[in-house]
Amino acid sequence: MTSGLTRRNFLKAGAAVTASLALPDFIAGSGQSLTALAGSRPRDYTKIVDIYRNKWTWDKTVRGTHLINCWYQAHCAFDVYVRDGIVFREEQAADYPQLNEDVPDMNPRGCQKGCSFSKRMYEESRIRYPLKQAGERGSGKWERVTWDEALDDIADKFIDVVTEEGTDRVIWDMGPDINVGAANAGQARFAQLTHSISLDSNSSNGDGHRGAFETFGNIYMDRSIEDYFYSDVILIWGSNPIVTSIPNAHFFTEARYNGSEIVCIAPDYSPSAIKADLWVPLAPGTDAALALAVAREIVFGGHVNESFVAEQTDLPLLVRTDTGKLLSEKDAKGGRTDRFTIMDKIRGPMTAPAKSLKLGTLEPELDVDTEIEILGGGKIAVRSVYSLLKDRLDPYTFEAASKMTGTPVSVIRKFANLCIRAKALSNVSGSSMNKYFHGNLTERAMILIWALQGQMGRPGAGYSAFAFLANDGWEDYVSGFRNGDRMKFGTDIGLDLLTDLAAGDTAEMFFKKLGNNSFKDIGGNLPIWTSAALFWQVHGGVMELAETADKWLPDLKKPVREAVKESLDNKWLPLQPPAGTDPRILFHYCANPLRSVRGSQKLTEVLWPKLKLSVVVDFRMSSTAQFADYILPAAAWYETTDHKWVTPLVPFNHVTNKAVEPLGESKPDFWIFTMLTKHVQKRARERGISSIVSHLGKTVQLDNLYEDMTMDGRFLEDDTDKAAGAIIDASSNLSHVSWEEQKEKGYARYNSIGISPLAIGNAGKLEEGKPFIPLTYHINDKLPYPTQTKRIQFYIDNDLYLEHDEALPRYKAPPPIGGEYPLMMTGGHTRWSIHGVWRDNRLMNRLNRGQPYIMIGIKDAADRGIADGDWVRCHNDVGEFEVRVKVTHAMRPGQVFMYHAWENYQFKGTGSPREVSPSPINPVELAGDHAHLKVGMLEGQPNSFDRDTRIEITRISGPRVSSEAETASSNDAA
Amino acid sequence: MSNRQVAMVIDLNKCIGCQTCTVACKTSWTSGEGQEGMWWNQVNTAPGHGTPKDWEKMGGGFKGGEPQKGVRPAQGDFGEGFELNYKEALFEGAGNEALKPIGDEPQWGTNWDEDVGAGDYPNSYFFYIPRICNHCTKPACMEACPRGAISKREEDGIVVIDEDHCRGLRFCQSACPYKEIYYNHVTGHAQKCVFCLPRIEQGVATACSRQCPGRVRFLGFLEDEDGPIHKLVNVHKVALGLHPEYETEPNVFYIPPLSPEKFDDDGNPTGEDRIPLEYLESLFGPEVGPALERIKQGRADKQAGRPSDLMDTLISKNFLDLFGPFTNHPREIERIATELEREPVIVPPSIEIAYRGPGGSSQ
Amino acid sequence: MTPLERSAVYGGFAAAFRTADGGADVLDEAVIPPPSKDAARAFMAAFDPSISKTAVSLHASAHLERDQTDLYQELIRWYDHFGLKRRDGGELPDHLSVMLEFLQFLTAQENANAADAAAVASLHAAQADFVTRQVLPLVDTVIGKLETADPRYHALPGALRAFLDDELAVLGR
Repeated sequence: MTSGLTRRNFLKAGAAVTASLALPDFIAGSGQSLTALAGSRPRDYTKIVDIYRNKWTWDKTVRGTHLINCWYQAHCAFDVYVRDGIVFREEQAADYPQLNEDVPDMNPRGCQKGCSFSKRMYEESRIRYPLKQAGERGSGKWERVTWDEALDDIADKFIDVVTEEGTDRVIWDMGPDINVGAANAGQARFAQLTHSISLDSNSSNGDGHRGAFETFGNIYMDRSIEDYFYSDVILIWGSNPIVTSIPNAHFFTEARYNGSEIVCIAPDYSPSAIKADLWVPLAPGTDAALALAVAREIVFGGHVNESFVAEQTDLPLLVRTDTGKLLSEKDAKGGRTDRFTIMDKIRGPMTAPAKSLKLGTLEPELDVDTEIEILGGGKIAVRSVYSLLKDRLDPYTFEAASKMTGTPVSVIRKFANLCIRAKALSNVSGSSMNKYFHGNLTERAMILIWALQGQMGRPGAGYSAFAFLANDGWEDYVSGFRNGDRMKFGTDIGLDLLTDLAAGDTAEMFFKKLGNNSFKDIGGNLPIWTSAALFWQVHGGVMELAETADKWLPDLKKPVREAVKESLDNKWLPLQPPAGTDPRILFHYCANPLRSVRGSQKLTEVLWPKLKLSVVVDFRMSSTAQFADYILPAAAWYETTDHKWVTPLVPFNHVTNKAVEPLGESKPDFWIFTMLTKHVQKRARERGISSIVSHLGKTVQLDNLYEDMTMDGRFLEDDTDKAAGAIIDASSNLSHVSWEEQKEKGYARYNSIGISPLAIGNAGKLEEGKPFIPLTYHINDKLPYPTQTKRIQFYIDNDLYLEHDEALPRYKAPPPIGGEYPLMMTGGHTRWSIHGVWRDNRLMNRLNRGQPYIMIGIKDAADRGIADGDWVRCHNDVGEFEVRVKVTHAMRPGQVFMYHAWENYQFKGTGSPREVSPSPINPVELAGDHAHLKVGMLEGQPNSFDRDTRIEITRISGPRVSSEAETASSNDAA
Repeated sequence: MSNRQVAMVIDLNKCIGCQTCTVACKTSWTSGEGQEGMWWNQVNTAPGHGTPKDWEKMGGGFKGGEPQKGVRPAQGDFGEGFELNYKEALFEGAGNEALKPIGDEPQWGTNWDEDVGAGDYPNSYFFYIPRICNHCTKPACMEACPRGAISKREEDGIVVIDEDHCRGLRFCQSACPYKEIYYNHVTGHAQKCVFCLPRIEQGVATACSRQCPGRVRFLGFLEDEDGPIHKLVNVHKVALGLHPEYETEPNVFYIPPLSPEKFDDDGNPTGEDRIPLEYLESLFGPEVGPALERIKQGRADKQAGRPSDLMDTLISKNFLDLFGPFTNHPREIERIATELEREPVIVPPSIEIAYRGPGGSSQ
Repeated sequence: MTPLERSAVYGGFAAAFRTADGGADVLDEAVIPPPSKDAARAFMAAFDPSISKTAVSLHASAHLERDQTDLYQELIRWYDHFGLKRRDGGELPDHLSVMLEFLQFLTAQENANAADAAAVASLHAAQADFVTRQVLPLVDTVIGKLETADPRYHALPGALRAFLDDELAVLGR
């Protein structure tokens, strides 16, 4: 170079200048060395347009999906387009087979969020390396640390806590990324090996389907999406599938073209209501009154399917009118307390069959109101459940229901006639009902419509509750494949299960009880779970918000705090660690309780100060991550190979393939959990600690934890793919398609519901070419239900239910939770995010309003002087938050609507909608001394409620735009 | 005149307003500079202001064959592509600053009216209506361009803007009665939907069609008598152009929306559709009433167990039946060019001019 | 400076913008102060917006109202034209250090093709266009927004700017 110009010398004297070339971020595309490439002749270049003339091709496309809990609308196979290790775009694979020629195919599955995840994963909120909070929690003083530093420090604190205070002080808070695949198995195996506690968040999210649980002893029942094509009447009730089931929605619009009638029952003219033939507008929280009016019409109009209810339900069972308890075989004639009595038309009182629902020669009388002799002489008055139910239903005339629901008699009558005239009646499951305080009563009342008419177990007919379908090899993996033959699980399981099995328990009962054992402090081969709702209420301080609950809840028999104490003292519901034992470490595995828990403002005030460590594993900055001590960066869904549970709606296991390397220093979840055991083992050895005794009295080996975690090297930290495949291989319902085939195709149809406690309750056959219909094992094959009476059970004789007059379904008005305020704040899932994951996404926000908003009706807005786009304060006795307003024609007067999952940081200061929702526990949900009201996996736990929340709304100002905004607000202040 | 015309039918009974089409279009076509607030495909809640705001009041098109004066929409009418203050809100401590659009609070956006609707509760009503360039048979934009930069392709009737000839004079924006032409303030060109030309040329359905989970969009050539478009438009006569009074002969057609029955003053069901027919006629012309009747008849046939070719076509059990000849899989063709492979080669402007100035991250 | 020396300087700057102590073995201490004791923290305080309020990002997309992947595509077209591919797990293509590595490569290729006038002309044109179009705007933005106290990270972008000015002068721009 002889430019002749004077140049400063940037080169250090004596610096090595060599022609050999190594670049950290590049390789030669041709595969040669960089030095060789540099030595070759360059392609011609004259101006920039030249680089645009080159053909743009993809390096590869791989099959991917999004390992997130979109629940009813999960899952979708995508093609992921990769160039230079970057995901540039994705498009639905859209190659699912058509089930049969009666029904549409499922293509193309995928929504706007999935179709732009490649944009989301490179956004600024992505966490790229381990971060440590250097200041106060929440201060935002983040320090970048190495994985070794982070994991060593976490390991040390973990060892401190488990050695000094106990293994139950370590809590795994599980979020929507639970996949029942390798990532989740890493977490679960860590928790299981160290006897730490995992939170079951389902009921905390308000998704517990308590009413289905009370009625069926099981919440897991949903159909495959094609089955709606066989329904002639489809009820959208407690759900909003046009918004929350985007890839499934065409089955409803197409079924309508096919002649089906669609009815939407909702307070607001929802996006789903617009697709209905009949919309039943009703006051929020009054759905039970509507359902009971329909049930009354079925009963008094002579539409009961008597053979169905005699065989499948508890309606023919006898109840002692003196105690209100079901008449047991023991009381009637000596025998078992878990067998119950019917009145045979010829033979009088007889024990109802229990090992099978088959009645044989029995002919139960339905309507019984008589006296019978019982063991030891003496007469008692008995009535059948049916007889009691008739009395119960009698007041729910169309006129009475009209007053309760605010819906005209003519609409209720039309609705009832549709439900009765239907050849195949179905509902679209959602979880909105359950988020009302008396949602359990509503769901029980709704189920009556199906059960009384025998509208179940046939194509297109049946009640859908909770949707879940999973592989059943996962538990095997987590246990280190020690379960071996699944029916022999080893002695840890509890011999009582095997005894019950011998005594006639069905496989469904056996495996569900096995799941229940996760909540017992017996330390088996499964991780230990506890109810997240109870955990946040008791340890998190959320219960303190309900101190004034007796003002809101007219039929409360004792203060909520005492009711909880009674349940815990009696061990009706297990809580780990027990009340008074402070949690010390919270691992948030993609969980975000500071956003999601109703009353979450209490958590940072009550629980966080007790914590020695809060660790968030996530790929994005969440509200909870802001208050963490460590954020461990997780790989995004195109950066790892794994699979995920689905639902019966789409009974296909879905796989995502690693398309690119994880961004920055982020790592797959499985790597993170495995490396954590490696560091615990290392630090334990360095500190001379070999083992500890867990809170269960069992030995936890700390100095060998990594070897145990990896099953002696079988599944190392980089073996996510291998571990995911091992789970498939161990699954009875997926191993018919090899892991390699599943990866290549992106999905595989399950061949059965399998035996996972998370799926077995679906109790039906998954057959080629046929839609899946739940509960046919009971309805067609006559296997007993996992309930106290072994039948679909409408009569709950538990003392708490008797005390609250809820032994049978009834209507109770929605209580004014938060105080006597004029507006009821309902809500639901949004189009624009799955949980909080897309809430901060640029693209989704541009298609929205960019900021949180609350929806209010025209008149309610006008009455308060509020215009669209204004800022308002939403407040009640418990708290307040500020938000912008969207004025719509769709809201019912007295109803306001807040879509869920806005992050706390999208509100000014700390106020968020969670702060006005104190979510008191419903005391009947604390029951536990009952044959089937027991805590189980994702069911049988107290729920969180927010739909009954009452608020008032006050205008603050107009939109904040430069100087005008100030003028507007100063005018307001005057 | 084109030899044949590619066309689209959009079924408003199946559209669920999810905007997957909008996102598919956005990520395929308008990720570049000056395109932040540009949505070649949008889904509006109707009734509503639409995008650009109040476009139906902006005129354009023809009357009795004569071009009509139109209003040019202002940039803000399309809504802004606002940026969010990630850094301040996410990484600088909780409660520090709310995550929100940078600068003045947005007062409008492409989907601002989502689910707002019209009518007095409980007779509220609304529906979703996706819109793209109508690739009109008589494009008002083409006639209005003094540079001759807009043309209609002979082989498929797709209307395209030649950016080499476009000088950003924006007469096309005023002339287009659908206001489906955008102005890129960075490149200085008019830009609009290209009907996914590079995909269509390779037999792949447009991104908005193939990626639509509602299975809302039918594709094909208008003249293809076996295709779904011809059937729905010409045989069953249930697919209608939007605002036919503008005389541009749009080639995007709509299946008009059914609606839940209306209540009388006492709240009793009336058996009538709740969307006022006059409103639908104002959008789709006088043929909309008979079209709705034909759809209802099809449903009644199905309910009675009678065959209905109309319902079977609208349902299209097989996904690929929606797309006429455009059934190739994007994964399986040699390359899927969606971004920048168009002739002439377009080079985006230097990134220099788009850098925010020092400290320019807010206001 | 010879092309090889210029390549080394680009490499030094690339390293210096990649890690706290990078480039110290290549860059002249008279122009760029050596890393301080607490270099890692200071580096992040200067350039890592995820952990520091005042930091300025070295990713071009952080400063642009343009879709990231659209920018990635433009940059990958540059790299691809000259035969380079992104290493798996490498930095994203819009990071300043990656752009500088690319220039390190182009100058190394210039060195190897010094005898081929047409090749040198191509490489010079590419260097000049790339510096003008992609690198300078980012460097100027970084300089404009930089609020660090550490003298090394204050001096670094300034030195780079000076070097690029020299480069453009040499390249005839």
